[in-house]
Amino acid sequence: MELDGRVSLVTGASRGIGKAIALKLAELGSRVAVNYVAIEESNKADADGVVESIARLGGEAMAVEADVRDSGAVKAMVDEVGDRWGKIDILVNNAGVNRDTLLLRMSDEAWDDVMGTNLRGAFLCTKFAVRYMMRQEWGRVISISSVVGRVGNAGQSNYAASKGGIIAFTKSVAREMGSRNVTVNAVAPGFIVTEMTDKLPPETRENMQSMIPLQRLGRPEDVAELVGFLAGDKAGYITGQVITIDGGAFP
Amino acid sequence: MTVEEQIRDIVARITRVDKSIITRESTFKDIKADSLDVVQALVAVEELFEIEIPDEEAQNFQNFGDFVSYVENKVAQTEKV
Repeated sequence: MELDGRVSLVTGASRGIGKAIALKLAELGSRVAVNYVAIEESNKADADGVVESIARLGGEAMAVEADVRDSGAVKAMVDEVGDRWGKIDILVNNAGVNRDTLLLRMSDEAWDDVMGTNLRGAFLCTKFAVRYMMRQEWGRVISISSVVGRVGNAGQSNYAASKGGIIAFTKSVAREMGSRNVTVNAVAPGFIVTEMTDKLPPETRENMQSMIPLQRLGRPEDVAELVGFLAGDKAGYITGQVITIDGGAFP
Repeated sequence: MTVEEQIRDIVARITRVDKSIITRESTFKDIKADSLDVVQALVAVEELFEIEIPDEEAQNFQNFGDFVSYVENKVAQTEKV
């Protein structure tokens, strides 16, 4: 299979898009470290559930706890994976939070919280994981951005800034890592059905759907397919790119 | 292995040159190390010896010998503490 022998680390993989990505990478043959943060008690059980699902499919996975905002915790997590499986080939920066409100009502904490997990988290995980990739001269860093990071959204200035930051970060690191055969790309999903979007009022969801040429909201599996492709050898000449996956809403 | 030998091994591995050509007088340019090679070597040496090499200090290394001397001093200081 495409990812046989590979080792992947997916952040925020206990549910939503991260979970779908972890399952897809495992299906393609990779061993997968399923990161979660122990802020909510259910996260550990959810991450263990993902590990079990992978095991049932005949794959190998482990759950690894770390708050991606914490440099020491991220380094320890990356080394735990590296020690257990000898390397890290694929990093998926997926961990993300949102605290939506209009700018005039946005607290410093809401700004820092979202930037911390979404952007600082991607920075820290990438910084420690590429050390393994550079050494072996093969690596894939795939960060989950958002269409909102490209086009903006009222009520999401913090989230949009963090996701736009991921795009600029991706393009810069791609330039740094090219000579080591490490590709660095971002994926920008549009409206994907997850717990995050389930909280939205029905009229907002209908409104979203009317903007999508393919006339349906996206599924986590749609995003996972794209990440699975970018993680493989066949995507070896793609780097520094942002690939939008939104049913055609924001071409 | 001495500190110098360990650093030579790291630099040789990263730059893929034969370690016999790396002398104390070799510059990074002599061994065809680009800026990413140098950073990679610094990080590897920092991890191995559990020291920190600030960028301002690293910028002053004129050759391999400067790099080694700096690390030898740092390691000696750490051992004293």
